[in-house]
Amino acid sequence: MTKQPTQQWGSRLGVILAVAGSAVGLGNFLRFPGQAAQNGGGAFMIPYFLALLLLGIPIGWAEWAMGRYGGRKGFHGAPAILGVWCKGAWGRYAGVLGVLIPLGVYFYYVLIESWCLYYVIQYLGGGLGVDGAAPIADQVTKTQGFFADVTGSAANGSLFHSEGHLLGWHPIVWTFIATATLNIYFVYRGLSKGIETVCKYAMPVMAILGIIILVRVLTLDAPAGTTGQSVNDGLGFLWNPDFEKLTSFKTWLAAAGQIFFSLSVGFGVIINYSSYMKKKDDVVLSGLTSSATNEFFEVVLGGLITVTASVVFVGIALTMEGAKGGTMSLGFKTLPMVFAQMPAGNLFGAAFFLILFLAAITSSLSMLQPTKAFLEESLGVNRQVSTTIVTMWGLAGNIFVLWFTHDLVALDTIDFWVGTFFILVVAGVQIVAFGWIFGVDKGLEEAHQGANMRIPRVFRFIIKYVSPAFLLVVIVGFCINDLPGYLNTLFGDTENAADSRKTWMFLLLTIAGLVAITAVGARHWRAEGLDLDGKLPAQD
Amino acid sequence: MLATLSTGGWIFMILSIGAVTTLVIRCFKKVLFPVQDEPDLPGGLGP
Repeated sequence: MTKQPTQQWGSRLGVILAVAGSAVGLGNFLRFPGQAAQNGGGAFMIPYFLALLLLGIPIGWAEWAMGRYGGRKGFHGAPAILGVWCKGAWGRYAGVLGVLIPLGVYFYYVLIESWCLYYVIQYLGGGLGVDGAAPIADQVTKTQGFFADVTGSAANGSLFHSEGHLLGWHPIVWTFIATATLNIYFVYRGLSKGIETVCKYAMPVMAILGIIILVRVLTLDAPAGTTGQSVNDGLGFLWNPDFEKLTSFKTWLAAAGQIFFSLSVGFGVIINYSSYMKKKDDVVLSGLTSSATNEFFEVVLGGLITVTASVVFVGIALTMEGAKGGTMSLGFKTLPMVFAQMPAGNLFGAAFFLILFLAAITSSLSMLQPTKAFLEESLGVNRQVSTTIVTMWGLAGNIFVLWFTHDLVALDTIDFWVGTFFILVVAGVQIVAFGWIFGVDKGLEEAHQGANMRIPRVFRFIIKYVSPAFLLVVIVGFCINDLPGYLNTLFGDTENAADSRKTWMFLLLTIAGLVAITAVGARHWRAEGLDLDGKLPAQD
Repeated sequence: MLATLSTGGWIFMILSIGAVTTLVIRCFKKVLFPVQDEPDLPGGLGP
């Protein structure tokens, strides 16, 4: 097996911004305000912050500590690290999901990223063609038509049969090629020169642009001839507390789900990133800082910009409809109507979609690194070979999603199973491994190595009992609410069901490949005398 | 369905944004300006 120099982070700030960059995504700006507005407004923040304290931060700390411990044993991929923490092969194979999740999400995420870039280019070139003075129904038709055209949701393969364009390819395909090339370039440059450098620049730029847009939104006047609603109404729509909603289980589930998916715990990235940290590095402060940064983008920027502007310009009904339609609907269909009516709307539209693009690229860059590390340690290939394999694998997934665009079923299927359901499973395995198999006291001791800040004692109880129980409730609630619909789609006899099954076949091939590589890796690690079942203490 | 920002809304908004902003500032302060450990002086030095 080729032994390579271990990659390292350039600085502590670099790893924090890289993890925060991975966590900050479209959901912070678009999903959070929609969830809050639908689930009790200001009152939603009570279960939201509770979930942050009882679920997000503790599981995050566990994941950071697990990753660094695995790194000290010479492992950087989730399968090997979870094998160590779970003390056996079952953890190793459960850890395959920790590689599948970032890789699978990458399959469709780059496509969404290219939509954002396409919108930026369109705004810089004069807008999306939405007439802000036209009746609102016409604007709805226009923005929805634009989105359908960009995504190719009318039929599979439609983006490659677009009349009047170069090679018959829709311009979004070329935007996708540019976006994918950018991703591959930075992944090729490695951890410190690639991912860390991009995040160090992109995160402050996002924050500054976000604050500029925030100031603009908060100083908007109620525009004449539109909804007649003010910024105060927009803020009231999002923040006025409705305490009755707190009696609903759905509200608590929505809050826990938002925290969970927003912080990227159980995603397979933190465990990989922290494996490059040293024993003297402070994982407690790093974990808390990256979570806090994610929360800043979500609560402060996400909580004040999108819904507020939307209510002012298009009214509560359309905003509600956009929020109910999910992340895509609010972002790509409702907000373009806002920018069409806003003074200097093209400029602010470009700036807003640039923020989304930066949020997306700092996330997508993190998604190939875990697979890259996994290939290197399992197959013994060098960095160039692993990067080539992982980018080809990612590209194959991208092209699959780019072709099967009808009703966005392929994208939606991967997003639900890989980007949502499996994350819950991996987080469950992690918290059980940390709190019960490895032992919460030993786990916290490991987390405290090199830490200036100590985890409060109460978290011993939280990590051992509260977080697993809370997570179990979330999983059960999630299964009851969302699983039946997706199972019906999967086993139905519609065109969408057939596309869903094709997507699953593609995913199963990916899973089979990852399982086979894990088996090969386990044989290598055993032959090299590495402690793959976590029986020995970590070496420094 | 107009609902201007109520007193409760103001309170929740300010508390939430204040809590998150304070947390992020405190964390970054600790990361960027870590407290240096006291140097271990050999015995016998000092006044």
